[in-house]
Amino acid sequence: MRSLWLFPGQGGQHAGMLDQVNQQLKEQVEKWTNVKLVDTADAYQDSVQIQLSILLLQIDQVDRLQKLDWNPTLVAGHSLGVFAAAYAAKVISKEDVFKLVALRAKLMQECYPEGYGMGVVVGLSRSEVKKLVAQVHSETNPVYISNQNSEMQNTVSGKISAIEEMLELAKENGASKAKLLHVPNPSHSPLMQKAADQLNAFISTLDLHKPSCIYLANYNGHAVKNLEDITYDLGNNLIYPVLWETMMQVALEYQPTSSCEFSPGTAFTKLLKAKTDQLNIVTLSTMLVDDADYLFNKWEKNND
Amino acid sequence: MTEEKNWHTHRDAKNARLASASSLLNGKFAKTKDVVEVLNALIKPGDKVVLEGDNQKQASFLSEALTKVDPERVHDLHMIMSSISRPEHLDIFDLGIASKMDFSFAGPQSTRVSQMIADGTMTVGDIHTYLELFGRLFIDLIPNVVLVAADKVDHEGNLYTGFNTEETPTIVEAAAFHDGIVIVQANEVVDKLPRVDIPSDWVDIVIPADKPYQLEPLFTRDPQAITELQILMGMMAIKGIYAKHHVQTLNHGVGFNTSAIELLLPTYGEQLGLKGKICRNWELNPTPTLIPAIESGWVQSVHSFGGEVGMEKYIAARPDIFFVGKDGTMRSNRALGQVAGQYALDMFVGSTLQIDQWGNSSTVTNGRLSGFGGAPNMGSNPTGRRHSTPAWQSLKPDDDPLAKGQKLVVQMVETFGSNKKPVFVDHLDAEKVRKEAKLANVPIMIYSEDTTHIVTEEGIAYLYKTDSMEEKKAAIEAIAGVTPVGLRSNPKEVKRLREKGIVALPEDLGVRREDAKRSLLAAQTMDDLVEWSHGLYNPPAKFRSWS
Amino acid sequence: MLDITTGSDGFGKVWQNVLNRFFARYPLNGKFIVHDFGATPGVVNLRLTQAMEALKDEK
Repeated sequence: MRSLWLFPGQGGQHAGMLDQVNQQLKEQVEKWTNVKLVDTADAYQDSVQIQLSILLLQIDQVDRLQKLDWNPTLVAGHSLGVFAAAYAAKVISKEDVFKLVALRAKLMQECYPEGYGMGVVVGLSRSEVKKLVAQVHSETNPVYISNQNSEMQNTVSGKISAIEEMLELAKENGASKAKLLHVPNPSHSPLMQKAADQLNAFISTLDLHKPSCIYLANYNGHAVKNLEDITYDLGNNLIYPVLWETMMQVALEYQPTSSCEFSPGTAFTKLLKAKTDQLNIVTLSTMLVDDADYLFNKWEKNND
Repeated sequence: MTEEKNWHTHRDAKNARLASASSLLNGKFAKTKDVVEVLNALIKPGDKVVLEGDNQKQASFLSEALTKVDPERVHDLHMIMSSISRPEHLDIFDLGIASKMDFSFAGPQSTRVSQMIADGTMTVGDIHTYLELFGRLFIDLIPNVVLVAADKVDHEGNLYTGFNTEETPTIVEAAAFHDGIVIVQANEVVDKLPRVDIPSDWVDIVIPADKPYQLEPLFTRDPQAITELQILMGMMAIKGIYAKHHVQTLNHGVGFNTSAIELLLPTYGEQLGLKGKICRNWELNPTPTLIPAIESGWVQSVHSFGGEVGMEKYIAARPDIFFVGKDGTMRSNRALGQVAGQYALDMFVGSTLQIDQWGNSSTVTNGRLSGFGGAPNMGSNPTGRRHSTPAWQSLKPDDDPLAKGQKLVVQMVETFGSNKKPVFVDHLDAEKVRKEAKLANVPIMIYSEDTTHIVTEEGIAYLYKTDSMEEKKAAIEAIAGVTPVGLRSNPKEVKRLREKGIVALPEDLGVRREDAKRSLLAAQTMDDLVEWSHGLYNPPAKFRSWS
Repeated sequence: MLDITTGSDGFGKVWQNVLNRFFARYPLNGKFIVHDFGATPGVVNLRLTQAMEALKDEK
């Protein structure tokens, strides 16, 4: 069985999602980061709460699966998801990854207190979106093309006023959907450079290890097996578009037989299903780790 | 006294290599567990190596072993491959084992190929059609080592390749007669082969594989996925092209459009009284959707480039139709099939992802370099052809006494793709890809000058009848729907083109859209196909329903 | 940060083109309602022309 493990980023968080998480691990994380994880709808207005809680959820799930001797052939994280992906690939230790993400979330929050964000455009190709972005972008009114979620779904990041202009243009040019996202900063654009610089400085103090499997990098959509590229991705994916569509194309060329999406949500499994019907699928937000273990055993026995 | 030139340097080199591996060999046979050491001993840096990545068959045991060789001993290999199909075909570049690639098709690895060319991990010699690449194996890409796959081998080293013979004999011949080394992985060692496909004199090393070579069912299409639009287009094609030009010999490019046509012959084709008059002799991989037409008596013969998983028993039971050895199993041959496809066919029908305003077709998109495979060879007019058939002759221009006929090359596309992006565009994405991938020329699959007909859901454009590029563009616009290209068409022009017989809408052909129903298909499900085959067709697992 | 949609709410100009092209080729009277469940323009054109043939038959 060759498995592709998918780790979502921010967006799917919801109150109570930490209910089933290992409580000892939760307390350990709170000690390491000095942040109490409250797990309420109110708390999830705060990026630090969101990012650490999602990471906790994912790390807990990885631990449970790896304890049952399940390991990935390929890991792919979307934005925040790269950290749990790196952990699953045995690149980074548990304590380090939580401290790293705590810093990341704090830096992202401090970067752009207001007036900046992201939008999504559906129904135009990436090159079409690039053209329209270029028509609006200026130094004082910046907007950049950001994530490549699928062939016809891209995000843009920048100043809200510029984004709104661009979204109007997109609708006029045939986009089936063009709207703002509930994201308070211009993630995955050059505007986040300062945050990336500080993140990289911290990363250089960490003790990281060669990956135990193939890691799909956000910043260039490549399958990567060396530590340098993964380290670069962890520190810099903030300033690069997440090339998710390319990552998925490359992942499928490695001929995985199963996929496992970690919590929260099933958004990336949906995207993957649109590309192939040949995968056995697990989504940990809709089933217990024990159910996943049962399925993995069944598929491995059938040589799937 | 001048020194005698050594005219047998290749032979000497080959003997030296084989000698260096003699401790690993028992006659021609090496042990399964010694495969990596055998490759380390027999392959030298800079070698030209053919690794069998065929369309269907993959020498997967050897390709996995190749990733484990010592890059200090084996590096800078120049790979020559029909089809880049498996991840390890590219891993050897990441690992510093290979540095250059000449290939034909890369569909299953097109994104990584694109990335590796862009960042310089892989240098591409060039991209070819299958037949071109096979040709160069005997000219300037003569291999030093070939790594191929066989089903069975006997104790002398004779090979049985059976249904999935594909290009193995061609690859082996290029090495065997120019002092290359032939290394074969075999599924089984037996006392007696069903028949000899490749004689042991051509073979140097045999290694029993740890598991059977990988085989993909690439030409199987589930009839349930065929849409009404594809049925409408199939009806138009049968009446407006197949019947009109009396097409007797043909190849169908793999796809749902052509599967629909195959399933319409016993029903719609029968209604039109066309049995025996069209579609008699085929060059085609044994697609299951042809079964109803075969069973109904439409088909006289089918020669195949390769096999198709699940069709083995059916083929063995129909030796009058297929190319079956006296042992009862099929033999395929890609090189000869491509020769037939080039020179011996009335018509090629295929599909594509993009067509530009002039009628050039391409399947290349940004970031994915899938190469050419066999389509440009099938989908081009062979000016070297001399023999005449009614279909070929029907395309001869009236106005030139020295003219001759032409192969029908038909492209069938819906005006918009499933991603709701226009298929008809002013400029192909391929134009941009040429720059990105540093190719000498724009990677066009089928050129406008070779394209004789285009079929869309709107109608047929008989491009061979146009007398200028302006008129050809107008004909394309008339059937390009509401794409930006199609929106340039105007009703007056469409009327003129219809009167000249250059454009035909369904009503001009007497085809009713109301009749384009799934019930018109001779088989609507995989189960229907199994029934048509009297239980002989055995669909692979992924095509079987849960019931 | 991620949003998925199905169907198409905003393909308006394309549908207008489909209808214009249809009526330019097949001048007919009648009320046509297009339900868009994510179909391609080709499929919509097919439905319109199938409806037209049905109308012609009734005459």
